Amino acid sequence: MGSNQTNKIHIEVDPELRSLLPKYLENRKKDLDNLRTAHKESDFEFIRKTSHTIKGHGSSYGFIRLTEICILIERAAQKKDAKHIDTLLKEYDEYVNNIELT
Amino acid sequence: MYKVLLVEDSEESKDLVCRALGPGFEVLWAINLEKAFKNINENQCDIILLDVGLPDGDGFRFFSQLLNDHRHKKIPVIFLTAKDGVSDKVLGFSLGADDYIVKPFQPAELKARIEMRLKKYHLQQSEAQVLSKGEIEINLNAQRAFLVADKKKVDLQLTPLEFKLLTLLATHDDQVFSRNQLLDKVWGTETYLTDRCIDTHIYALRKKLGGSAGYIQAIYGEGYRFSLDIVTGTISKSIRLRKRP
Repeated sequence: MGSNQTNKIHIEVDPELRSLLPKYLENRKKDLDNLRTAHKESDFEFIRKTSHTIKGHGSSYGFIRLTEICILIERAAQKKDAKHIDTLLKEYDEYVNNIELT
Repeated sequence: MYKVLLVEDSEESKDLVCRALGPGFEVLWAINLEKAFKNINENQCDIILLDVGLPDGDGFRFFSQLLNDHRHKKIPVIFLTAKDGVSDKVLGFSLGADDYIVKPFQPAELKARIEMRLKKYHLQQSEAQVLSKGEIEINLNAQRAFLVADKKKVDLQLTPLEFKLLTLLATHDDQVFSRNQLLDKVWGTETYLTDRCIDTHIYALRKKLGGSAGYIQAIYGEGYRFSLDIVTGTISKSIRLRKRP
């Protein structure tokens, strides 16, 4: 995990959405586990679909970088670029595990 | 309260839409097309938010099916999808979508777009239900007719039969109806009345129309018609138009 006190990412959240965010982030961590498994199994279609879905709501919840990472993962999955996916999943991990809501 | 059918397989997007729309909206959530069809047949929806990539098919096809169903084809449909390619947007609009919103969306913008679409839809609906003929305004929803002149709108206080009679004539400009045709169309074929009964009702209707009575014209030996061209005097051996009172 990339959780590190010095790398905390502060996200200012919409008060209207605040109550939804703990569950939202929990689900994104579960997605990360599923994406890693799919990556090991070279299941690019699963990676493409999952990243496409997360791309669709990440920044609406205030996590702009999450949407950006997922756009890149989706593209890499379309190209079956396993190496790039590996790099991006690390970035995803680093991001979701260091978010601090303000 | 507006009923929104949200066809969307992501729970996160559903939560976001519900939060964005707030208390003035009831969101019916369908996670696939099968549930969407069930929902739309069981509920009177005001608007549909439709994702494209769904587990049991694509939203474009669902939309095409809706357009072929007279019960649902007028419901506004907004695509709400992460498919952001120009070809996807063009396809959505070419099918007749009312809007195409790419995810991720801003909740406030989503609400504004939905409200705007609903407002336009209801305006179009209400306009479609109001018929204006000269100084006469017929509200088909309310089953009431008005005289509109000098920025004043006066309810003509028509009886149901007078309203039907006026509506029939006014929706068929310049078409002559025989007394028997009027009896069949207004009173129905099961009612037995003398055709002269029509004259009594036309007389009452024209009286209520006051200065606009001339729109309803008696055609000698034929019947009655509605015409915005008010002609006074007798004009031919077969057609005689009554003087405008």
